Amino acid sequence: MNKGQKSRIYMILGKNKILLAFLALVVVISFLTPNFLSWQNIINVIRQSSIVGIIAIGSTFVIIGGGFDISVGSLMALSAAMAVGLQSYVHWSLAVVAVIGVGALFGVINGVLTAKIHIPAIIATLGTMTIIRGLVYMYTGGYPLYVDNQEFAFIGNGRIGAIPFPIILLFVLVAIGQFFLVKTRFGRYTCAIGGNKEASRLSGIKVDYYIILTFVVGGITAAVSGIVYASRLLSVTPLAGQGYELDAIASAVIGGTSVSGGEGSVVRTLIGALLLTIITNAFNLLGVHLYIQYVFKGIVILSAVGFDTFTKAKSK
Amino acid sequence: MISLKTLLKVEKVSKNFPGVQALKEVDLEIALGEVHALLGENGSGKSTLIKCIAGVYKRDSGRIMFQGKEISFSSPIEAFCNGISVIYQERSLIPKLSVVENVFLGAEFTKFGVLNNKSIVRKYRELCELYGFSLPPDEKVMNLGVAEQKIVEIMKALVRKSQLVIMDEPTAALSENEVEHLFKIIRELKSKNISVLYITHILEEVFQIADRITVLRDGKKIGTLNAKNTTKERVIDMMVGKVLQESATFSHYVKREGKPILAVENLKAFPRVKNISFNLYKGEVLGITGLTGSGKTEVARILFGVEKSEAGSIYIEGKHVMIKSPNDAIRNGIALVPEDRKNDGLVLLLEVYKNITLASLKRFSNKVGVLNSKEEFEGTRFYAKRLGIKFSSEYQKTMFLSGGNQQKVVLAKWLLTKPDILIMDEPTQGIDVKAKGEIYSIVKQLAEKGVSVIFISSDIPEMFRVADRILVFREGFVEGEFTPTSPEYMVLRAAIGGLEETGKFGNKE
Repeated sequence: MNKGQKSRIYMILGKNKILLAFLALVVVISFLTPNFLSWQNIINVIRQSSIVGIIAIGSTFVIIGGGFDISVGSLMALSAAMAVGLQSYVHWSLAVVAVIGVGALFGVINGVLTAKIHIPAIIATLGTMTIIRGLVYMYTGGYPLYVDNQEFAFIGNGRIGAIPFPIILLFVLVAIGQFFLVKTRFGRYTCAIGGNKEASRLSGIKVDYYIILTFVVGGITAAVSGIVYASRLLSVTPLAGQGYELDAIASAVIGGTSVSGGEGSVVRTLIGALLLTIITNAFNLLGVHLYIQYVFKGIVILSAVGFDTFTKAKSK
Repeated sequence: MISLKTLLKVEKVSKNFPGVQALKEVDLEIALGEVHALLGENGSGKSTLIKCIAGVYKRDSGRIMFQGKEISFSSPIEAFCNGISVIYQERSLIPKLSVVENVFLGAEFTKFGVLNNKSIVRKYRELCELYGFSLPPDEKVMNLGVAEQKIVEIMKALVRKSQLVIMDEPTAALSENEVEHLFKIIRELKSKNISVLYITHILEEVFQIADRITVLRDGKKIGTLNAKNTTKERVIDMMVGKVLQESATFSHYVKREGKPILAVENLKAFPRVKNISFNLYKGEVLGITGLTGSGKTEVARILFGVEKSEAGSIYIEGKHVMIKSPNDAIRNGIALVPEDRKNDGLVLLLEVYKNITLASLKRFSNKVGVLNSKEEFEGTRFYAKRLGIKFSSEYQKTMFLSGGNQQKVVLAKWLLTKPDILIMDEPTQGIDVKAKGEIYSIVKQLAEKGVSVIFISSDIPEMFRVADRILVFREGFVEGEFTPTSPEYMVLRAAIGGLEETGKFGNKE
């Protein structure tokens, strides 16, 4: 095989590796567990993906813009707790709006810490992650919060036809996210800034402003995810959402978002999120122990990113 | 005094690159304990020659003898370990490590695999005493000035017992005091019988420090002179290859009609820009040349809002403007094709069309920011055709284009912003001859259409191909103004500071 053919195969594999892996996994698992391809199970898998999937939309923007946000798990918990708690004072719809506002606010804070104060994004959001988790404990007093509201419960439990509402919400948000990424100035600038900050600045782009904006998107999607979570369970514990930020980042990078920024796709992030859930689901169906599942999940993440970074380093 | 023993002897060394013969049977001889200056214009073959000596390039033919033995190093590290070290313009130290850690990097003393700091520091003190260095060993290199960092590199070479230290324009970013200090150290090296090959543009320095001078031109050795028995005039003659027939009486000032589109007055920015004033007129190509460190790039970056100035004013069409960011500059109709194409000009990861439309995306989107890809493609194709950009599809990633095509992509990006003033900083660096020619004709066409172009380049012959008017910067001042009919050597003299004896440039007479 000559070099050209080889690199072409690498390219085709590289571009669609996530889809190929996804299909291969579905085939293997459907052989191993007959229940896997049942309508009920498929719906279950997608619905389970929705919480992390919605957060991952925001993470995709942040990572493409050259940042990282590990505060979104805590932010999801705070949003969920507030969505429940605020309903003691205001109508649920107002609570939802307020929670989204809080998500956006923490996005601004993360963005300013990164873009203006120049704290490396992973450290800045490590700080806010800790702060927000503390706020969750303060807000809940350390106890689970409950709510009983049928209208509010629709967000997490309702169906439109045969499709659960969280699935519809997830798909709609993915579509909106993809549109923003590909078809708007904001999306284009995000890719440019993540690809080369200095060249973007010298092209007249307000770099800091757009970096902050990516974190705002991250904050808002975390808040929406928290609302879905609260509505689904109609309760929130202070420990909610721990590790979700890692699953969200993993979904994005498994979906081919470049960890150094500049490249990615919201649709492929969705496939990444589904892949992660399928692995968990299949292992549960097969009765594989939870501990082993962690190990396997880690290996999947490393393989996905490793394939990307290794082929890139080689082509240089 | 120069001892007669030869340390390095280069005999008939030639080197070809595709399409260019960079060195043609060059000879060079360096004596033990000699400071030997290597002079020549850009492209004369100086750097190729040192790279052949230091093992970066492999020579095509000829011999290099070092300490009586023929050498042929396959890497710079091999040369370094065998007593030849090169101190390049860009520093090769690790900023976060201390002086002593840098000096001994890769040559540490160990005891059972553990660093023996005591003997390292002892050795460091010996070195300081021997050569009169006085840098604190524990200071981090990033806290040192440029000159001190050069000294650290010299110490690094001495630890490896270098017999020959090659310095590539070591004073390019140094102040006068620092240059003095560096010269003291070079003299110290000399007294310890270590030879120095000194590459520079600055003639004063050569006469201060060098024993002998070798001049290269167009890849050929023109001659070796004894510094004591020669003059600046003679060296310049050898560098430009023309006999001086006239000197002081030449008037170079160009009268211009009408109001300037851009007027720069008394621009100052520490440390490179000391006092720069000039005018730019509608539809002209203003060439700006000068040595590295003369302030050309800095002026371009100030005009584009990337760097700040401490004093001075900028007027566009007679109106005083404040340019604080690239955004301000673009709004005022200014565009900059930056010097460092890959790091400052392009997002290599992005597709060609996305780079081309990046600076004018507002024109390709509606009020809420939704892009119109169809128009983006039309814009891309229009400029691809006009500038002759070659790509396999608009979706091709910019990193896969050739240097010349990449430069045209940057140019297309800025032409889409419809600038009145286009600043190009070293636009032909690193691109092939054919693409260079294309860039020149594009620039001329733009000027005919009324765009005012500032064309910055350290390649003096290039000025004569493209500019209507040539400004020469030297050490942060405007040293002279010339026309394309001025003799080339006059421009070179202004750049390297040879105008003093013949009187400052013509308009004062």
